[in-house]
Amino acid sequence: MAIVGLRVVPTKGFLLELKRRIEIIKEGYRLLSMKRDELTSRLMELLEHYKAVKKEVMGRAEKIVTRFREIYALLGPETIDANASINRGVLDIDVLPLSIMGILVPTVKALREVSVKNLFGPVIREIVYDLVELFQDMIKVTEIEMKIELLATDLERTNRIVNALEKIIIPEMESVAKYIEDMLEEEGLEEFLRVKLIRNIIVARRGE
Amino acid sequence: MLEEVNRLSDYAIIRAHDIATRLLPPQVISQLAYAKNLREVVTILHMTEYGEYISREIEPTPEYLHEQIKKVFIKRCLKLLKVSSEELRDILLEVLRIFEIENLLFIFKKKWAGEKADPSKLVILPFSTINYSSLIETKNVEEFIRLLTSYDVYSEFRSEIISLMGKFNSPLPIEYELYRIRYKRLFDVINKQRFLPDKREIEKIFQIEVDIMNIFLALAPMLYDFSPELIDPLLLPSGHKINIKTLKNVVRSKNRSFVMKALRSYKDIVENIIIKREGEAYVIAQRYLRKELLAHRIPSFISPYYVLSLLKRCEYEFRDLSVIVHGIFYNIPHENIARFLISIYN
Repeated sequence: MAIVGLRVVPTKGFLLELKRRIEIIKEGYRLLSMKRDELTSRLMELLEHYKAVKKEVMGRAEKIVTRFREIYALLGPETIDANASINRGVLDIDVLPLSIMGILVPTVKALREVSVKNLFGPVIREIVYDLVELFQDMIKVTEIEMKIELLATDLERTNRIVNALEKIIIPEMESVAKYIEDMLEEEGLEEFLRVKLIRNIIVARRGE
Repeated sequence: MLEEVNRLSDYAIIRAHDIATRLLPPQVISQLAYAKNLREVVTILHMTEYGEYISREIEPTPEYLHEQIKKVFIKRCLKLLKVSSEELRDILLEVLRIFEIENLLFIFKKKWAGEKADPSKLVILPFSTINYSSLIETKNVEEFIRLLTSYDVYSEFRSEIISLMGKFNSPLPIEYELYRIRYKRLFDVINKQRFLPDKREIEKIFQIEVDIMNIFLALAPMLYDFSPELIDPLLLPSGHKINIKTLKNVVRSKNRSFVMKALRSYKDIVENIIIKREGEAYVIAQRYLRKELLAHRIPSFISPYYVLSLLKRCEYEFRDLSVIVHGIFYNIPHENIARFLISIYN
Protein backbone atom coordinates (compact mmCIF):
# COMPACT_ATOMS: atom_id res chain seq x y z
CA MET A 1 0.00 0.00 0.00
CA ALA A 2 1.24 3.52 -0.76
CA ILE A 3 0.23 7.13 -0.53
CA VAL A 4 1.23 9.47 -3.34
CA GLY A 5 4.96 10.13 -2.95
CA LEU A 6 5.25 8.02 0.21
CA ARG A 7 6.12 4.35 0.68
CA VAL A 8 4.04 2.84 3.47
CA VAL A 9 5.97 0.89 6.04
CA PRO A 10 3.75 -0.71 8.67
CA THR A 11 5.76 0.20 11.71
CA LYS A 12 4.92 2.06 14.87
CA GLY A 13 7.42 4.79 14.00
CA PHE A 14 5.88 5.26 10.57
CA LEU A 15 2.39 5.34 12.08
CA LEU A 16 3.42 8.07 14.51
CA GLU A 17 5.02 10.05 11.68
CA LEU A 18 1.94 9.51 9.53
CA LYS A 19 -0.39 10.67 12.29
CA ARG A 20 1.73 13.78 12.76
CA ARG A 21 1.49 14.43 9.05
CA ILE A 22 -2.27 13.91 9.09
CA GLU A 23 -2.54 16.47 11.88
CA ILE A 24 -0.46 18.98 9.86
CA ILE A 25 -2.49 18.32 6.73
CA LYS A 26 -5.72 18.72 8.65
CA GLU A 27 -4.47 22.05 10.04
CA GLY A 28 -3.55 23.06 6.48
CA TYR A 29 -6.96 21.96 5.31
CA ARG A 30 -8.60 24.07 8.04
CA LEU A 31 -6.53 27.11 7.07
CA LEU A 32 -7.16 26.62 3.36
CA SER A 33 -10.90 26.27 3.88
CA MET A 34 -10.79 29.49 5.90
CA LYS A 35 -8.88 31.09 3.00
CA ARG A 36 -11.45 29.73 0.58
CA ASP A 37 -14.33 31.17 2.59
CA GLU A 38 -12.57 34.51 2.91
CA LEU A 39 -11.73 34.57 -0.81
CA THR A 40 -15.33 33.73 -1.66
CA SER A 41 -16.58 36.52 0.51
CA ARG A 42 -14.04 39.01 -0.95
CA LEU A 43 -14.91 37.87 -4.44
CA MET A 44 -18.62 38.29 -3.81
CA GLU A 45 -17.99 41.80 -2.47
CA LEU A 46 -15.86 42.64 -5.51
CA LEU A 47 -18.46 41.21 -7.87
CA GLU A 48 -21.19 43.30 -6.28
CA HIS A 49 -18.97 46.39 -6.53
CA TYR A 50 -18.04 45.50 -10.11
CA LYS A 51 -21.65 45.04 -11.14
CA ALA A 52 -22.60 48.44 -9.71
CA VAL A 53 -19.57 50.25 -11.17
CA LYS A 54 -19.83 48.56 -14.55
CA LYS A 55 -23.54 49.30 -14.83
CA GLU A 56 -22.90 52.95 -14.06
CA VAL A 57 -19.85 53.25 -16.34
CA MET A 58 -21.43 51.36 -19.22
CA GLY A 59 -24.60 53.44 -18.95
CA ARG A 60 -22.52 56.57 -19.08
CA ALA A 61 -20.35 55.19 -21.88
CA GLU A 62 -23.42 54.49 -23.96
CA LYS A 63 -24.63 58.06 -23.49
CA ILE A 64 -21.18 59.47 -24.26
CA VAL A 65 -20.77 57.38 -27.40
CA THR A 66 -24.22 58.44 -28.61
CA ARG A 67 -23.33 62.03 -27.88
CA PHE A 68 -19.97 61.59 -29.59
CA ARG A 69 -21.72 60.37 -32.73
CA GLU A 70 -23.92 63.46 -32.67
CA ILE A 71 -20.94 65.78 -32.26
CA TYR A 72 -19.13 63.83 -34.99
CA ALA A 73 -22.03 64.39 -37.36
CA LEU A 74 -22.29 68.04 -36.36
CA LEU A 75 -18.61 68.97 -36.67
CA GLY A 76 -17.68 66.56 -39.42
CA PRO A 77 -14.98 63.91 -39.55
CA GLU A 78 -12.20 66.38 -40.39
CA THR A 79 -12.66 68.49 -37.27
CA ILE A 80 -12.92 65.42 -35.06
CA ASP A 81 -9.89 63.87 -36.72
CA ALA A 82 -7.80 67.01 -36.31
CA ASN A 83 -8.79 67.46 -32.67
CA ALA A 84 -8.28 63.79 -31.86
CA SER A 85 -4.65 64.22 -32.86
CA ILE A 86 -4.00 67.01 -30.40
CA ASN A 87 -3.94 64.96 -27.25
CA ARG A 88 -1.97 61.74 -27.69
CA GLY A 89 0.11 59.74 -25.26
CA VAL A 90 -0.10 61.83 -22.14
CA LEU A 91 -1.47 59.35 -19.63
CA ASP A 92 1.17 57.79 -17.39
CA ILE A 93 0.12 55.00 -15.09
CA ASP A 94 1.91 52.69 -12.72
CA VAL A 95 0.58 49.26 -11.88
CA LEU A 96 1.37 48.48 -8.24
CA PRO A 97 0.90 45.07 -6.62
CA LEU A 98 -1.51 44.86 -3.68
CA SER A 99 -1.77 41.72 -1.56
CA ILE A 100 -5.21 40.30 -0.82
CA MET A 101 -4.86 37.08 1.26
CA GLY A 102 -1.38 36.70 -0.17
CA ILE A 103 -2.56 37.08 -3.74
CA LEU A 104 -0.94 39.92 -5.64
CA VAL A 105 -3.53 41.97 -7.48
CA PRO A 106 -2.82 45.09 -9.56
CA THR A 107 -3.68 48.58 -8.39
CA VAL A 108 -3.49 51.29 -11.02
CA LYS A 109 -1.99 54.55 -9.94
CA ALA A 110 -2.12 57.49 -12.33
CA LEU A 111 1.26 59.22 -12.35
CA ARG A 112 0.12 61.85 -14.81
CA GLU A 113 -3.58 62.46 -15.45
CA VAL A 114 -4.84 63.18 -18.95
CA SER A 115 -4.79 66.92 -19.18
CA VAL A 116 -7.10 68.49 -21.71
CA LYS A 117 -7.17 71.88 -20.06
CA ASN A 118 -6.74 74.84 -22.42
CA LEU A 119 -6.59 72.57 -25.45
CA PHE A 120 -9.93 72.33 -27.18
CA GLY A 121 -12.24 74.81 -28.79
CA PRO A 122 -16.04 75.06 -28.52
CA VAL A 123 -18.34 72.06 -28.94
CA ILE A 124 -15.55 69.49 -29.14
CA ARG A 125 -14.39 70.23 -25.57
CA GLU A 126 -17.77 69.13 -24.19
CA ILE A 127 -17.25 65.59 -25.43
CA VAL A 128 -13.50 65.55 -24.76
CA TYR A 129 -14.02 66.19 -21.03
CA ASP A 130 -16.63 63.43 -20.87
CA LEU A 131 -14.37 61.02 -22.74
CA VAL A 132 -11.42 61.70 -20.44
CA GLU A 133 -13.57 61.01 -17.39
CA LEU A 134 -14.92 57.87 -19.00
CA PHE A 135 -11.44 56.70 -19.89
CA GLN A 136 -10.35 57.00 -16.25
CA ASP A 137 -13.44 55.11 -15.11
CA MET A 138 -12.72 52.39 -17.67
CA ILE A 139 -9.28 51.96 -16.10
CA LYS A 140 -10.99 51.51 -12.71
CA VAL A 141 -13.36 48.91 -14.18
CA THR A 142 -10.42 47.07 -15.73
CA GLU A 143 -8.60 47.14 -12.39
CA ILE A 144 -11.59 45.55 -10.64
CA GLU A 145 -11.96 42.99 -13.46
CA MET A 146 -8.29 42.06 -13.09
CA LYS A 147 -8.66 41.70 -9.30
CA ILE A 148 -11.69 39.48 -9.78
CA GLU A 149 -9.91 37.34 -12.34
CA LEU A 150 -6.86 36.82 -10.12
CA LEU A 151 -8.91 36.14 -6.99
CA ALA A 152 -11.16 33.75 -8.90
CA THR A 153 -8.15 31.87 -10.28
CA ASP A 154 -6.71 31.56 -6.79
CA LEU A 155 -10.07 30.60 -5.35
CA GLU A 156 -10.40 27.87 -7.94
CA ARG A 157 -6.93 26.57 -7.07
CA THR A 158 -7.59 26.77 -3.31
CA ASN A 159 -10.92 25.06 -3.76
CA ARG A 160 -9.29 22.28 -5.72
CA ILE A 161 -6.67 21.77 -2.98
CA VAL A 162 -9.29 21.87 -0.22
CA ASN A 163 -11.42 19.35 -2.06
CA ALA A 164 -8.45 17.11 -2.77
CA LEU A 165 -7.45 17.25 0.89
CA GLU A 166 -10.98 16.71 2.09
CA LYS A 167 -12.03 14.03 -0.35
CA ILE A 168 -8.81 12.22 -1.28
CA ILE A 169 -5.63 12.92 0.66
CA ILE A 170 -6.91 13.01 4.26
CA PRO A 171 -9.24 9.99 3.88
CA GLU A 172 -6.48 8.12 2.10
CA MET A 173 -3.91 8.91 4.79
CA GLU A 174 -6.38 8.07 7.51
CA SER A 175 -7.15 4.76 5.86
CA VAL A 176 -3.41 4.06 5.60
CA ALA A 177 -3.02 4.93 9.28
CA LYS A 178 -5.94 2.65 10.05
CA TYR A 179 -4.37 -0.09 7.94
CA ILE A 180 -1.06 0.31 9.77
CA GLU A 181 -2.87 0.29 13.11
CA ASP A 182 -4.69 -2.88 12.09
CA MET A 183 -1.46 -4.45 10.89
CA LEU A 184 0.29 -3.49 14.11
CA GLU A 185 -2.59 -4.78 16.19
CA GLU A 186 -2.59 -8.02 14.24
CA GLU A 187 1.16 -8.30 14.62
CA GLY A 188 0.79 -7.64 18.37
CA LEU A 189 -1.89 -10.29 18.68
CA GLU A 190 0.21 -12.74 16.71
CA GLU A 191 3.16 -11.97 18.96
CA PHE A 192 0.98 -12.45 22.03
CA LEU A 193 -0.32 -15.76 20.77
CA ARG A 194 3.20 -16.84 19.86
CA VAL A 195 4.46 -15.93 23.35
CA LYS A 196 1.51 -17.68 24.92
CA LEU A 197 2.12 -20.80 22.81
CA ILE A 198 5.81 -20.84 23.67
CA ARG A 199 4.98 -20.33 27.32
CA ASN A 200 2.59 -23.28 27.19
CA ILE A 201 5.25 -25.41 25.52
CA ILE A 202 7.80 -24.44 28.18
CA VAL A 203 5.29 -25.11 30.97
CA ALA A 204 4.44 -28.47 29.44
CA ARG A 205 8.12 -29.45 29.18
CA ARG A 206 8.75 -28.52 32.84
CA GLY A 207 5.72 -30.61 33.86
CA GLU A 208 7.18 -33.68 32.18
CA MET B 1 -23.23 107.51 -55.49
CA LEU B 2 -26.07 105.79 -57.31
CA GLU B 3 -23.62 104.63 -59.92
CA GLU B 4 -21.45 103.13 -57.18
CA VAL B 5 -24.44 101.33 -55.68
CA ASN B 6 -25.44 100.00 -59.07
CA ARG B 7 -21.96 98.75 -59.65
CA LEU B 8 -22.21 96.79 -56.42
CA SER B 9 -25.74 95.58 -56.92
CA ASP B 10 -24.90 94.08 -60.24
CA TYR B 11 -25.52 90.80 -61.87
CA ALA B 12 -24.53 88.96 -58.68
CA ILE B 13 -27.86 89.83 -57.07
CA ILE B 14 -29.76 88.38 -60.00
CA ARG B 15 -27.67 85.23 -59.85
CA ALA B 16 -28.19 85.10 -56.10
CA HIS B 17 -31.95 85.04 -56.67
CA ASP B 18 -31.43 82.27 -59.18
CA ILE B 19 -29.33 80.22 -56.72
CA ALA B 20 -31.85 80.92 -53.94
CA THR B 21 -34.50 79.04 -55.92
CA ARG B 22 -32.21 76.00 -55.94
CA LEU B 23 -31.64 75.96 -52.19
CA LEU B 24 -33.35 73.07 -50.49
CA PRO B 25 -36.55 74.18 -48.74
CA PRO B 26 -36.79 73.45 -44.97
CA GLN B 27 -39.34 70.67 -45.58
CA VAL B 28 -36.89 68.86 -47.88
CA ILE B 29 -34.12 69.24 -45.30
CA SER B 30 -36.52 67.82 -42.74
CA GLN B 31 -37.48 64.97 -45.08
CA LEU B 32 -33.79 64.18 -45.54
CA ALA B 33 -33.24 64.14 -41.77
CA TYR B 34 -35.95 61.49 -41.49
CA ALA B 35 -34.64 59.35 -44.37
CA LYS B 36 -34.26 55.68 -43.49
CA ASN B 37 -30.84 55.28 -45.06
CA LEU B 38 -28.33 56.94 -47.37
CA ARG B 39 -30.05 55.39 -50.41
CA GLU B 40 -33.18 57.33 -49.56
CA VAL B 41 -31.08 60.49 -49.12
CA VAL B 42 -29.67 59.92 -52.62
CA THR B 43 -33.19 59.43 -54.01
CA ILE B 44 -34.38 62.71 -52.52
CA LEU B 45 -31.25 64.64 -53.49
CA HIS B 46 -31.47 63.27 -57.01
CA MET B 47 -34.52 65.43 -57.63
CA THR B 48 -32.58 68.57 -56.72
CA GLU B 49 -29.50 70.37 -57.97
CA TYR B 50 -27.41 67.72 -56.22
CA GLY B 51 -28.73 65.12 -58.68
CA GLU B 52 -26.14 66.24 -61.23
CA TYR B 53 -23.35 65.26 -58.89
CA ILE B 54 -24.67 62.22 -57.06
CA SER B 55 -24.69 58.97 -58.93
CA ARG B 56 -27.36 56.40 -58.14
CA GLU B 57 -25.10 53.63 -59.32
CA ILE B 58 -22.50 54.20 -56.60
CA GLU B 59 -23.15 52.71 -53.16
CA PRO B 60 -23.58 55.86 -51.05
CA THR B 61 -21.13 56.40 -48.21
CA PRO B 62 -20.94 59.52 -46.04
CA GLU B 63 -17.54 60.34 -47.53
CA TYR B 64 -18.83 60.11 -51.10
CA LEU B 65 -21.95 62.16 -50.38
CA HIS B 66 -19.99 64.75 -48.39
CA GLU B 67 -17.63 65.13 -51.33
CA GLN B 68 -20.53 65.70 -53.76
CA ILE B 69 -22.28 68.14 -51.42
CA LYS B 70 -18.99 70.01 -51.12
CA LYS B 71 -18.79 70.21 -54.93
CA VAL B 72 -22.25 71.82 -55.16
CA PHE B 73 -21.35 74.30 -52.44
CA ILE B 74 -18.08 75.22 -54.14
CA LYS B 75 -19.90 75.55 -57.46
CA ARG B 76 -22.41 77.97 -55.94
CA CYS B 77 -19.64 80.02 -54.31
CA LEU B 78 -17.71 80.23 -57.56
CA LYS B 79 -20.82 81.22 -59.49
CA LEU B 80 -21.39 84.12 -57.11
CA LEU B 81 -17.76 85.15 -57.07
CA LYS B 82 -17.55 85.06 -60.86
CA VAL B 83 -20.40 87.48 -61.42
CA SER B 84 -19.67 89.82 -58.51
CA SER B 85 -18.14 93.22 -58.88
CA GLU B 86 -14.67 93.64 -57.46
CA GLU B 87 -15.95 95.32 -54.30
CA LEU B 88 -18.50 92.66 -53.56
CA ARG B 89 -16.07 89.89 -54.41
CA ASP B 90 -13.65 91.22 -51.80
CA ILE B 91 -16.34 90.87 -49.15
CA LEU B 92 -17.42 87.43 -50.34
CA LEU B 93 -13.84 86.22 -50.32
CA GLU B 94 -13.42 87.28 -46.71
CA VAL B 95 -16.71 85.57 -45.79
CA LEU B 96 -15.54 82.36 -47.44
CA ARG B 97 -12.13 82.60 -45.81
CA ILE B 98 -13.63 80.61 -42.94
CA PHE B 99 -13.14 77.49 -45.08
CA GLU B 100 -9.51 78.40 -45.66
CA ILE B 101 -9.10 78.81 -41.90
CA GLU B 102 -10.77 75.46 -41.25
CA ASN B 103 -8.27 73.88 -43.66
CA LEU B 104 -5.36 75.63 -41.98
CA LEU B 105 -6.53 74.49 -38.56
CA PHE B 106 -6.86 70.93 -39.82
CA ILE B 107 -3.27 70.96 -41.07
CA PHE B 108 -2.03 72.81 -37.99
CA LYS B 109 -3.63 70.43 -35.49
CA LYS B 110 -2.24 67.44 -37.35
CA LYS B 111 1.16 69.12 -37.30
CA TRP B 112 0.75 69.74 -33.56
CA ALA B 113 0.44 65.97 -33.12
CA GLY B 114 3.34 65.31 -35.48
CA GLU B 115 1.06 63.84 -38.13
CA LYS B 116 0.61 64.59 -41.79
CA ALA B 117 -2.73 66.00 -42.92
CA ASP B 118 -4.60 64.26 -45.72
CA PRO B 119 -5.18 66.91 -48.43
CA SER B 120 -8.34 65.14 -49.64
CA LYS B 121 -10.04 66.18 -46.41
CA LEU B 122 -9.67 69.89 -47.13
CA VAL B 123 -12.41 72.12 -48.53
CA ILE B 124 -10.27 73.91 -51.09
CA LEU B 125 -11.95 76.91 -52.67
CA PRO B 126 -10.18 77.93 -55.88
CA PHE B 127 -9.73 81.56 -54.83
CA SER B 128 -7.43 80.59 -51.97
CA THR B 129 -3.86 81.72 -52.49
CA ILE B 130 -2.56 79.29 -49.89
CA ASN B 131 -0.31 76.49 -51.04
CA TYR B 132 -1.62 73.76 -48.76
CA SER B 133 0.90 71.15 -49.91
CA SER B 134 3.85 73.20 -48.73
CA LEU B 135 2.12 73.79 -45.38
CA ILE B 136 1.47 70.07 -45.04
CA GLU B 137 5.13 69.37 -45.78
CA THR B 138 6.48 71.71 -43.07
CA LYS B 139 8.53 69.93 -40.42
CA ASN B 140 6.93 71.36 -37.31
CA VAL B 141 4.50 73.87 -35.87
CA GLU B 142 7.05 76.70 -35.85
CA GLU B 143 7.86 76.21 -39.52
CA PHE B 144 4.15 76.03 -40.29
CA ILE B 145 3.56 79.39 -38.60
CA ARG B 146 6.59 80.91 -40.30
CA LEU B 147 5.33 79.82 -43.71
CA LEU B 148 1.77 80.87 -42.96
CA THR B 149 2.77 84.35 -41.87
CA SER B 150 4.70 84.79 -45.09
CA TYR B 151 1.34 85.03 -46.86
CA ASP B 152 -0.03 88.58 -47.08
CA VAL B 153 -3.37 87.61 -45.57
CA TYR B 154 -1.81 86.26 -42.39
CA SER B 155 1.14 88.65 -42.16
CA GLU B 156 -0.40 90.49 -39.22
CA PHE B 157 -0.14 87.43 -37.03
CA ARG B 158 0.72 88.73 -33.54
CA SER B 159 4.03 87.49 -32.12
CA GLU B 160 2.58 87.28 -28.56
CA ILE B 161 0.22 84.59 -29.83
CA ILE B 162 3.16 82.29 -30.50
CA SER B 163 4.53 82.83 -27.00
CA LEU B 164 1.02 82.26 -25.61
CA MET B 165 0.84 78.97 -27.50
CA GLY B 166 4.19 77.96 -25.98
CA LYS B 167 3.32 79.12 -22.48
CA PHE B 168 0.04 77.19 -22.29
CA ASN B 169 1.08 74.41 -24.64
CA SER B 170 -2.18 74.92 -26.49
CA PRO B 171 -3.14 75.27 -30.15
CA LEU B 172 -6.08 77.48 -29.16
CA PRO B 173 -4.22 80.84 -29.55
CA ILE B 174 -3.42 80.01 -33.18
CA GLU B 175 -7.04 79.06 -33.85
CA TYR B 176 -8.42 82.31 -32.46
CA GLU B 177 -5.69 84.42 -34.04
CA LEU B 178 -6.75 83.11 -37.43
CA TYR B 179 -10.37 83.97 -36.61
CA ARG B 180 -9.29 87.44 -35.45
CA ILE B 181 -7.44 88.06 -38.71
CA ARG B 182 -10.43 86.85 -40.69
CA TYR B 183 -12.90 89.13 -38.92
CA LYS B 184 -10.54 92.09 -39.03
CA ARG B 185 -10.10 91.71 -42.77
CA LEU B 186 -13.83 91.23 -43.18
CA PHE B 187 -14.78 94.37 -41.25
CA ASP B 188 -12.02 96.34 -42.98
CA VAL B 189 -13.25 95.35 -46.41
CA ILE B 190 -16.87 96.14 -45.48
CA ASN B 191 -15.91 99.53 -44.09
CA LYS B 192 -13.84 100.28 -47.16
CA GLN B 193 -17.02 100.22 -49.24
CA ARG B 194 -18.27 103.73 -48.71
CA PHE B 195 -21.49 103.33 -50.61
CA LEU B 196 -22.31 99.77 -49.78
CA PRO B 197 -26.08 99.51 -49.21
CA ASP B 198 -27.15 97.77 -46.00
CA LYS B 199 -23.59 98.11 -44.74
CA ARG B 200 -24.75 98.24 -41.10
CA GLU B 201 -26.87 95.11 -41.56
CA ILE B 202 -24.00 93.22 -43.16
CA GLU B 203 -21.68 94.27 -40.38
CA LYS B 204 -24.23 93.30 -37.77
CA ILE B 205 -24.36 89.68 -38.98
CA PHE B 206 -20.62 89.26 -38.56
CA GLN B 207 -20.60 91.15 -35.29
CA ILE B 208 -23.14 88.65 -33.96
CA GLU B 209 -20.85 85.85 -35.15
CA VAL B 210 -18.03 87.48 -33.17
CA ASP B 211 -20.27 87.73 -30.08
CA ILE B 212 -21.09 84.04 -30.31
CA MET B 213 -17.46 83.01 -30.69
CA ASN B 214 -16.54 85.21 -27.74
CA ILE B 215 -19.28 83.73 -25.56
CA PHE B 216 -18.02 80.19 -26.16
CA LEU B 217 -14.51 81.35 -25.37
CA ALA B 218 -15.33 83.45 -22.31
CA LEU B 219 -17.25 80.65 -20.62
CA ALA B 220 -14.39 78.16 -20.92
CA PRO B 221 -12.66 79.16 -17.63
CA MET B 222 -15.86 78.79 -15.61
CA LEU B 223 -16.97 75.51 -17.17
CA TYR B 224 -13.76 73.79 -18.24
CA ASP B 225 -11.16 75.40 -16.02
CA PHE B 226 -9.32 77.17 -18.85
CA SER B 227 -6.77 79.76 -17.75
CA PRO B 228 -8.18 83.30 -17.90
CA GLU B 229 -4.69 84.51 -18.88
CA LEU B 230 -4.97 82.39 -22.00
CA ILE B 231 -8.51 83.43 -22.85
CA ASP B 232 -8.20 87.21 -22.37
CA PRO B 233 -5.91 87.91 -25.33
CA LEU B 234 -7.96 85.63 -27.57
CA LEU B 235 -11.26 87.50 -27.23
CA LEU B 236 -12.24 88.88 -30.61
CA PRO B 237 -12.89 92.61 -30.96
CA SER B 238 -15.86 94.20 -32.78
CA GLY B 239 -18.73 92.29 -31.23
CA HIS B 240 -22.32 93.43 -31.61
CA LYS B 241 -23.98 93.40 -28.20
CA ILE B 242 -21.18 92.39 -25.84
CA ASN B 243 -18.08 94.45 -25.34
CA ILE B 244 -14.65 93.14 -24.43
CA LYS B 245 -14.85 94.57 -20.90
CA THR B 246 -17.98 92.56 -20.11
CA LEU B 247 -16.41 89.47 -21.63
CA LYS B 248 -13.28 89.89 -19.52
CA ASN B 249 -15.48 90.04 -16.42
CA VAL B 250 -17.22 86.86 -17.57
CA VAL B 251 -13.85 85.17 -18.09
CA ARG B 252 -12.98 85.77 -14.43
CA SER B 253 -16.40 85.07 -13.01
CA LYS B 254 -17.50 81.84 -11.37
CA ASN B 255 -20.96 83.18 -10.69
CA ARG B 256 -23.56 81.75 -13.06
CA SER B 257 -26.20 84.39 -12.37
CA PHE B 258 -23.68 87.13 -13.13
CA VAL B 259 -22.78 85.40 -16.38
CA MET B 260 -26.42 84.97 -17.34
CA LYS B 261 -27.03 88.64 -16.64
CA ALA B 262 -23.95 89.83 -18.53
CA LEU B 263 -24.75 87.71 -21.58
CA ARG B 264 -28.54 88.00 -21.41
CA SER B 265 -28.75 89.06 -25.08
CA TYR B 266 -27.85 85.48 -25.98
CA LYS B 267 -29.74 83.76 -23.17
CA ASP B 268 -30.64 80.54 -25.03
CA ILE B 269 -27.11 80.00 -26.26
CA VAL B 270 -25.53 80.70 -22.86
CA GLU B 271 -28.00 78.43 -21.05
CA ASN B 272 -27.04 75.51 -23.28
CA ILE B 273 -23.33 76.17 -22.92
CA ILE B 274 -23.67 76.30 -19.14
CA ILE B 275 -25.39 72.90 -19.02
CA LYS B 276 -22.61 71.61 -21.29
CA ARG B 277 -24.78 71.09 -24.35
CA GLU B 278 -22.42 72.97 -26.63
CA GLY B 279 -23.58 71.19 -29.78
CA GLU B 280 -27.09 72.48 -29.20
CA ALA B 281 -25.74 75.93 -28.29
CA TYR B 282 -23.82 76.01 -31.57
CA VAL B 283 -26.91 75.09 -33.59
CA ILE B 284 -29.08 77.62 -31.73
CA ALA B 285 -26.46 80.27 -32.48
CA GLN B 286 -26.42 79.39 -36.18
CA ARG B 287 -30.22 79.36 -36.31
CA TYR B 288 -30.25 82.76 -34.62
CA LEU B 289 -27.85 84.08 -37.26
CA ARG B 290 -29.94 82.57 -40.03
CA LYS B 291 -33.06 84.18 -38.60
CA GLU B 292 -31.27 87.52 -38.55
CA LEU B 293 -30.20 86.99 -42.17
CA LEU B 294 -33.70 86.08 -43.30
CA ALA B 295 -35.33 88.92 -41.36
CA HIS B 296 -33.59 91.48 -43.50
CA ARG B 297 -33.84 89.49 -46.70
CA ILE B 298 -37.00 91.13 -48.10
CA PRO B 299 -36.01 94.79 -47.55
CA SER B 300 -32.63 93.98 -49.09
CA PHE B 301 -34.03 92.16 -52.08
CA ILE B 302 -31.88 94.08 -54.51
CA SER B 303 -28.88 94.80 -52.38
CA PRO B 304 -25.50 93.05 -51.95
CA TYR B 305 -26.83 91.99 -48.55
CA TYR B 306 -28.95 89.47 -50.40
CA VAL B 307 -25.86 87.94 -52.01
CA LEU B 308 -24.15 87.67 -48.63
CA SER B 309 -27.20 86.22 -46.98
CA LEU B 310 -27.45 83.68 -49.79
CA LEU B 311 -23.82 82.72 -49.37
CA LYS B 312 -24.41 82.08 -45.68
CA ARG B 313 -27.54 80.08 -46.47
CA CYS B 314 -25.54 77.96 -48.93
CA GLU B 315 -23.02 77.36 -46.14
CA TYR B 316 -25.81 76.33 -43.74
CA GLU B 317 -27.21 73.95 -46.33
CA PHE B 318 -23.75 72.44 -46.86
CA ARG B 319 -23.29 71.97 -43.11
CA ASP B 320 -26.84 70.59 -42.67
CA LEU B 321 -26.43 68.03 -45.43
CA SER B 322 -23.12 66.96 -43.92
CA VAL B 323 -24.85 66.45 -40.54
CA ILE B 324 -27.62 64.46 -42.25
CA VAL B 325 -25.38 62.05 -44.17
CA HIS B 326 -23.14 61.40 -41.19
CA GLY B 327 -26.07 61.24 -38.79
CA ILE B 328 -27.96 58.69 -40.88
CA PHE B 329 -24.86 56.62 -41.50
CA TYR B 330 -24.08 56.45 -37.76
CA ASN B 331 -27.68 55.62 -36.82
CA ILE B 332 -28.35 58.78 -34.87
CA PRO B 333 -32.09 58.97 -34.12
CA HIS B 334 -33.92 61.13 -36.66
CA GLU B 335 -35.19 63.58 -34.03
CA ASN B 336 -31.61 64.14 -32.87
CA ILE B 337 -30.42 64.75 -36.41
CA ALA B 338 -33.21 67.28 -36.84
CA ARG B 339 -32.10 68.95 -33.59
CA PHE B 340 -28.71 69.68 -35.14
CA LEU B 341 -29.94 71.22 -38.36
CA ILE B 342 -29.78 74.93 -39.02
CA SER B 343 -32.07 75.38 -42.02
CA ILE B 344 -34.90 73.18 -40.82
CA TYR B 345 -37.22 76.11 -40.04
CA ASN B 346 -38.41 78.92 -42.27
